[in-house]
Amino acid sequence: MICDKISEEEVISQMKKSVILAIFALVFAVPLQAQVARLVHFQGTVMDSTGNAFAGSTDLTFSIYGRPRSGQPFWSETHDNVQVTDGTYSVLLGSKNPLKLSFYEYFLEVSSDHVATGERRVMIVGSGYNFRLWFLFSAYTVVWLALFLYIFSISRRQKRIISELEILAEVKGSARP
Amino acid sequence: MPSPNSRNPWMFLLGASLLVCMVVDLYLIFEFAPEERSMGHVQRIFYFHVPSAWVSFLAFFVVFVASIRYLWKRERKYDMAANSAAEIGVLFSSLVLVTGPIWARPVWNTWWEWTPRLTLFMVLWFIFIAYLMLRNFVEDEERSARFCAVFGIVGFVDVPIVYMSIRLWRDIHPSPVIAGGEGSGLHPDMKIAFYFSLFTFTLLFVYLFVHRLRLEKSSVALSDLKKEMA
Repeated sequence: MICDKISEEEVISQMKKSVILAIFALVFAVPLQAQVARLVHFQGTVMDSTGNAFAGSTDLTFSIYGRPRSGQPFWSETHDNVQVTDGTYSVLLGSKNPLKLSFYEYFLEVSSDHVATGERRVMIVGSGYNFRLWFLFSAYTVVWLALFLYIFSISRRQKRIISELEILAEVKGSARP
Repeated sequence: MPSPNSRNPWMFLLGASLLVCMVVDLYLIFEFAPEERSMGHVQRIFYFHVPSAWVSFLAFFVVFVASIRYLWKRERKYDMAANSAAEIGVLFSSLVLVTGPIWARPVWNTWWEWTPRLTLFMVLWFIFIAYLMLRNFVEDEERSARFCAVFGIVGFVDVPIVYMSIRLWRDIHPSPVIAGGEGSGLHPDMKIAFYFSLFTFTLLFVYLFVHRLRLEKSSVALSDLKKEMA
């Protein structure tokens, strides 16, 4: 009977471990997904063919790269009919194509068939934003790690006690005349 | 010998409900709740900092009630309940003491301030750390249970003081968002995330408490068997 209980315990324990691992993966995946910056406000300038500040509306394509020069963009979106006043415009990047940024630095390139946007890529550093996300993520990690460790600790203590009880029960049984 | 009772359908139901609630809670905290205007994403710590504090208060309240019942009835089950709840209370109050400073650093520009709320909460944490240590120091089980019951009742007195501290004294700690008076309150979506988080953490407390109580019962059974065989 004791053996039956132990094997049953082992099976349940394995199931519990699988469930805990699944929860563990899940709880860490959600905030990682949530820490993604959804929209980035961007302001830039464009010139017309004569080098003067452009006024009117134009199509602009925004591409994000992982390096300052060359390489393939890993994100891109086109804004049609962007209103430009005295050469200045502002757009919300990520409003056309979902933007996923983590804690690293990125380089933004703006291109247009009609106006001059400048050739250099602009570095995007959301320092304050990302800095605060680290605090959120740290707090979140501490909470779930502590809870999982506590559940593991209860489970281990329970196992140890049950095995000790089993040994003592056997000793007691063999000592009986 | 205490049965592990792992196939109890109620426990299965509780575990499954907790799992669902945790997933929904994560969605509400990180997706549904709007970003706070001045603090940004770091404000989301609030959704597990405050529920952790709530669970620690709840756990210490269980210690308080179980201790009174023990002194009155002298039944071991109340002492076991008090010990189990105290351990969970210490776990959650530790989480409060860790998540609070992590939130405070970017918002207050300091990890810690010796204000009434923070100091009194730390005192509460020390009281229940001492409670758990007392249990191990006194060898005689009956005496240990009696001392701990008295200590648990006296220790709980700090809980209402901690709760009222930001209402009674000037404090850098944010004002209460629930029943905090004029100018306080939460955005309706934040309220949903917050109340659901409170519910999920309460369910988590029940789940942990049942498991910890089961461990306590096994531990007492082992201790009894050892005494019987000695």
